[in-house]
Amino acid sequence: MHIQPFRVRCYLHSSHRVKLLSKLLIAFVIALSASLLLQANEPVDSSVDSAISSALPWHEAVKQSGSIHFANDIVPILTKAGCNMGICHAKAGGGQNGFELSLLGFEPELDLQQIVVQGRGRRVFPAVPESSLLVRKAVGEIPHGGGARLRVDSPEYKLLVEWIRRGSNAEVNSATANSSQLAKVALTQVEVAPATMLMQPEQSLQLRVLASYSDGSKRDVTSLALFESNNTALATVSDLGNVTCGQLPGSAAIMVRYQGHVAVFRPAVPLGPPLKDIPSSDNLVDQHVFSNLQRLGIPPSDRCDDATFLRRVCIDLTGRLPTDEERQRYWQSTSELRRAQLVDELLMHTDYADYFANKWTSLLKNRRDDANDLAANFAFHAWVRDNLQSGNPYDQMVKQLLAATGTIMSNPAVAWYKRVKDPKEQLEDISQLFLGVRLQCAQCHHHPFEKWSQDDYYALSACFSRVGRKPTGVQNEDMIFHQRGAAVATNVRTGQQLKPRALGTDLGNIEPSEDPRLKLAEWMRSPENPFFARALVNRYWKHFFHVGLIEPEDDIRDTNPPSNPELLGALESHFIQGGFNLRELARLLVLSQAYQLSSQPNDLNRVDTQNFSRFYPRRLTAEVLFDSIDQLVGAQTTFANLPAGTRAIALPDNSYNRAVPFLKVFGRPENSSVCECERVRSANLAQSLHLLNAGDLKAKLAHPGGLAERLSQSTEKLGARLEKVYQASFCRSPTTEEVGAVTQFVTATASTKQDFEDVLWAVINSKEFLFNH
Amino acid sequence: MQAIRQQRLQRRSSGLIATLAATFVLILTASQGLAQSVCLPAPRLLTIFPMGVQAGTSVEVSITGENLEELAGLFFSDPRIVAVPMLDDKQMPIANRYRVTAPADFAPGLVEAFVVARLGVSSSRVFSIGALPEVAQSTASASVKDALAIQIGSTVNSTMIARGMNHYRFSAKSGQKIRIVCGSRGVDSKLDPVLVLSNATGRVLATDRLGNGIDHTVDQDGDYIIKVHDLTFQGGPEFFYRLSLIDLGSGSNVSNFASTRHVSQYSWPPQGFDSSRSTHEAEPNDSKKAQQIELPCQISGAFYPAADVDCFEFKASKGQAWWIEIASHRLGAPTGPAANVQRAVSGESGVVWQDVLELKDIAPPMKISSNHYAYDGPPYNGGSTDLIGKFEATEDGLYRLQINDLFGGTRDSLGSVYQLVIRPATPDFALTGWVKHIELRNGDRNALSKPLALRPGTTFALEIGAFRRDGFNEPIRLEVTGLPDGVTASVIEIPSGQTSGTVLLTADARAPKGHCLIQIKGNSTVADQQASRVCQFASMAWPIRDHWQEFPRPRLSQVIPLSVTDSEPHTITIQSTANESGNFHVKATAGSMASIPLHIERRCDFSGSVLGLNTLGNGFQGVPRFEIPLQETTAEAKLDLAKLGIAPGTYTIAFYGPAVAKYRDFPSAVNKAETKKQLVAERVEQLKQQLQAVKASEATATAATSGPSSSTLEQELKSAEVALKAADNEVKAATARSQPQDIADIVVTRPFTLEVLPSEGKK
Repeated sequence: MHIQPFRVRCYLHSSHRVKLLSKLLIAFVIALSASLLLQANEPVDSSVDSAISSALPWHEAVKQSGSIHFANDIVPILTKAGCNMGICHAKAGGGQNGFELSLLGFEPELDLQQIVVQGRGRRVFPAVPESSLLVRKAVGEIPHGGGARLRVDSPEYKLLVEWIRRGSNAEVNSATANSSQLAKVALTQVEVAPATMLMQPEQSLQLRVLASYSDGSKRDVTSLALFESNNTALATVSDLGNVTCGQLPGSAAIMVRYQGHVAVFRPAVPLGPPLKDIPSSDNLVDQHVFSNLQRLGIPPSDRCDDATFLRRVCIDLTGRLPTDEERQRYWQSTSELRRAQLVDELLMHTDYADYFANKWTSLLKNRRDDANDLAANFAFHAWVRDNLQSGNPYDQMVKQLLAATGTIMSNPAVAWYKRVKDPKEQLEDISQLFLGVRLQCAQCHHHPFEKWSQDDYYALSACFSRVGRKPTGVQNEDMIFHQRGAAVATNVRTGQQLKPRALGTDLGNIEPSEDPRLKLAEWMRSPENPFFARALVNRYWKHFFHVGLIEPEDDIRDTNPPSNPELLGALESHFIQGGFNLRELARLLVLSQAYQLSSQPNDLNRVDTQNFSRFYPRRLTAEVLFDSIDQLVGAQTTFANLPAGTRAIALPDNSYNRAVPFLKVFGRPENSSVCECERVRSANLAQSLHLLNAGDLKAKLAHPGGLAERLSQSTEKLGARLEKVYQASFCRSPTTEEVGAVTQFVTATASTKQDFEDVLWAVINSKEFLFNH
Repeated sequence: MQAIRQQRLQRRSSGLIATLAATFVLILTASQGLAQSVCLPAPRLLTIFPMGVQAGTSVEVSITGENLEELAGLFFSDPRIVAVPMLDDKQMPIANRYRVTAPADFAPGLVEAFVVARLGVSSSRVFSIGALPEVAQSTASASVKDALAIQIGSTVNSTMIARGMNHYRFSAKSGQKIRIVCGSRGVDSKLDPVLVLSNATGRVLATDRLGNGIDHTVDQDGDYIIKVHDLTFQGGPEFFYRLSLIDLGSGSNVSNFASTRHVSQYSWPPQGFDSSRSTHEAEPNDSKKAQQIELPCQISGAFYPAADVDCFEFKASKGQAWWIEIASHRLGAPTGPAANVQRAVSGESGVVWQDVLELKDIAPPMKISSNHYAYDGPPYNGGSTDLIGKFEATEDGLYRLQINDLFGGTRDSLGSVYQLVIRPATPDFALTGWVKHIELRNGDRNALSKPLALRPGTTFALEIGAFRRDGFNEPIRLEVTGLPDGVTASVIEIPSGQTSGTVLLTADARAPKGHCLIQIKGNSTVADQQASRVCQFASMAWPIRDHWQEFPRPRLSQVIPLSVTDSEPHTITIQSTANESGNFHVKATAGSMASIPLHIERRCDFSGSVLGLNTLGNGFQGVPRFEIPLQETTAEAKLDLAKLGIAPGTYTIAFYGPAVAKYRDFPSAVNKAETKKQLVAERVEQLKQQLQAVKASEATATAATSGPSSSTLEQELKSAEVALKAADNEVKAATARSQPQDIADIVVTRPFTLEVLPSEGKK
């Protein structure tokens, strides 16, 4: 008979899930409002407001200029009318009924061809422009699958007709217009006013959108802009930019798009009055976290106790439970700085390098597809681990990876190029992993939510265009080198040859003998790079605080704002100024009071899941849980090709997932993606069943010479024995109730090895064990 | 009911799948079990432990290997290193154990060891002569608490166990500068060593995984730990290593272990090159401020720091020609030099540098293996990432040579050194060679490491590759010296403009047993004078029987041992008919169909009825593969001289192809073992009778007898019965070994000369 008191239901019934989801929703609202409230309380820059007030509406401005510019004036009309949406004429593979436009008008020169030339010019009829197929379809005079998209009396319709009347060219001018000047005019910026606003429930607000051009002119383009809310439960927005808040408190982001440019309006509904007292701290994390909480009126939880901190920080820094020696040293220390001392000790421990090498090698696709991959994978894993152990700065580590040359055995970083062979995949992985920018969309078309064009995509791929390969004496392994020559890549759509550029940044002149990847690496580590340090600090923040400041952590873009931009900015600066020191960053984060807050919510912050008013518990990862069980019960798992005593967090590649089902069940990734999301963190039935009665777990519990056997053979009092179990599991003593329950159970069944296996089984199945809290 | 039926169906189908899977596994296992191996048995010296000796001392070594029966001794490439067998209490040699002595004046470095056994000379194994006291580690030191205490200024010889690691403890003083180096791949080991230096508390101070070693300055007095393991935690007797702990402050000149040389190093240095005459590059010498040089020149430099580009500017006159050669990879550095020459051209915006030459890698002398499962060429890569090229000035003016390391973009290593030579054309050549193998769809690369252990009646073909420096274009005549009695060498010379030739070594059917060191040379006209260059022979460090699991590792050998065995003849001898004077010489007329009668002497059964043959011989590579009957004693080869376009002259020709012999390994061992068993059995019988008699005597006699007692005899009988069991096992083992087994190997016919006479009309 197994004991019940320690058994905790790990998985919620559906009704509980609904409640939890409701709470999460509210929490999310609070989170966003927190960040926005912070900004709403600050003085709003009125320059945009005044600029909009003085700007002419777009159609008036066009009239005044005397010329009609296809890209600047006609394409926005088509975009607003929805003609060039992905489901309409921008549908891949031919558009609709032979009329194909570029997605959201990102390629106006092609659109012009389609409208004016393609179909033998049948879409426009300058002699009688109102009879043009283009406008007759648009107003519904003749059958149109998309229905009527324009009104005949609208300025959009009138401008379209006028453009056709004047010859439907890229640019058509009146006699007085200065054509040479107009030809160079380009849209440079789009702003929305206001940018943020503290609003009341059900309050409405009309947004206004200002477009700025390269000639210094400005236009009010509100009626042509596209609006979209990221949370319609909080705030909706009409086609014309009228925002209406809902009943829920919180905040949202309203994305405003116009001709490839993006602006964001962030409405917020605050929760309560600001806090009077917040903990004081020199740590920049605390300054920004508590300042945010203060303004939001969300009181932080108490500081966690020593036992909790000991267990928490050990797991987060080294991927394991504290050892007996570490616990004893910690408890024996009377220093006020013992938490800091513990952190320093852990950061220098080889387990720190093992744990973070596990994280990075997974993201860097250290994957075994063939038995011959063994040496390459071991070498690459060791290279990452050695970098972390030696404290090689992050920027140097990335540079060595990005610009790796040679053979795997002489330079293990080359193994990445064995795994990621396609230059396109290389650029996509590098940008997503190290810059937090997802560029995949831009391979085929302009990124719909970002500024990245196909030119940006292929110009970045040009950085990898001179990666040369030669076969080595080892099957499937190439020698990587810089192939002398001009680095260029071809935009597959335009056929244009592009020189290397890094996300819109010119990398300067690159000599044929220079490896463009080195230039790219230099750009990445430049303090002016807006992505590199940001992506890393956000990734590490999420590692320790379990929720990213930007979610997901590798999707950094204007339309996905951070929950605490000041904090993210401060971390970014700190990381750059500190020389990209990963250990120092980890130290800063875990020694913050914010990190040391209890996971126990108070009456008010229970629903907060974004502002870090308490520590958010998270299930142990597959490897950490696996090792923790081994560590607790005194078992040891044998892994192929590795010495006895190797722990799961030190496994070099994914191949062990097949041999150890536990790792697969609990979501250890297969190292096939640069996305952290490949690691499954969600709960499922298989996990529950595995923990309840899997054969391997039972075998561990019954391990000869293991803890259960030692406890059963011990002559110590039961309380002392139980103390060992609880210290090893939770770094704390058992409560009176827990002692009572175990005593009752063990005494009743005569204290056999099986009894202690049951006790350990119950401990392992508790949430307190399964989670880092 | 439906559910039950479904379950039954599932059970049935899963049972069927299981059966099919089991059948598949059975077939696979069976096919693997029956799979033919490659290469007839040859002696292999696999390990020597310890792997080195300090100069001026001696050491007891143990050897292991394959086919080491009837050992005649352990020999070294340098005769100053001497091995004598270890003797037991009865002054009898102890199997596979020797005492090796190195003279005190022997410079630290490598020699090669080999043994001579029943089948002849073995493959070689590197043996180190060191300057430091040596320690042989006998048991693993798997944990820190078991760490082996070592002294600074010593070398440990050890072997790694699978999934294991060894630990070493040493004491050092604050400020002491130490170097930790591990010799492994460079001394023929399979170990890819990882060195981890930590302090007594376990804090890691330095790690090395690239074979560079660890240089460390100790910051406090105390004990330190060195951990050694293989990169992929492999182990076994072949994973040996030599770990040296060196005090850099003691003035010791020992810094790193000597290493075997890779094949591409055969082409370096040029004849007469003296590195001490090189001037060192003067940094900064990049594109902003190039180093001014005058030609000719010889410069040493380093690709340091990372992404270093060195620029040298020189003046050249129109029509001047220079050869530029850069060595770095061939110096043992993990580099890939790149170089280009630019010319300064004045333009509107100032001086512009225009590319005029990009230097090319040194090409291998012949197509190398694509390294796939099928063997399709030699895996001896004589090519190099080093560079050579001819620069011809097209205009008077200023030129710039820009060099960098293609593999050095992120590497900060002072070890990435180079030698740059710019010289007027100095045509010359260098040679390398190795034993020819056959094209096989088989991952077995065992044959690549076979020694030149000739069976009477066999012919070995050696591929010889040439590096032609500075446009050297003369034909190269090959020559073999030092051959033992009964062994002859025929050569297919390297023609003008070509880079490969062949040496054919034939042991006559009556060749006497013997072994020696031979030398292969190339002779040609260099600078209008006859010159001779020694061919550097390459071999594989290990027999590789599964190319999927392990990759062949070629290296240059110091010597070429060759032997002839008297233990068994070759499995088959194919030769043309000798003429009256005993020469293998055939005459034919140009443009005719030459007919070559072949005599076949089989000494065992073969798989298949025909043997497909290709042709070796200058101008005869295009002869289509043809077949001869294996079951016959004669055959005929036809060479269409007209189609081949063969001009009158004398040609050395041989045919070669793969054959699968039903080989019986060491059958005479069965008789020997049976004889031994018989003797032991007789002794057992004798003891039994003696014991019976003594027991009877003891039962009746009242006084003690003078012979052995029954208890003594019982002991002797017991020992004899154990010996009988062992002898029986020997018989069984020898019998099993002598059973016919399929072994694929190259068969090369005895070479013959074909004299192509002018046709009638052209006389």
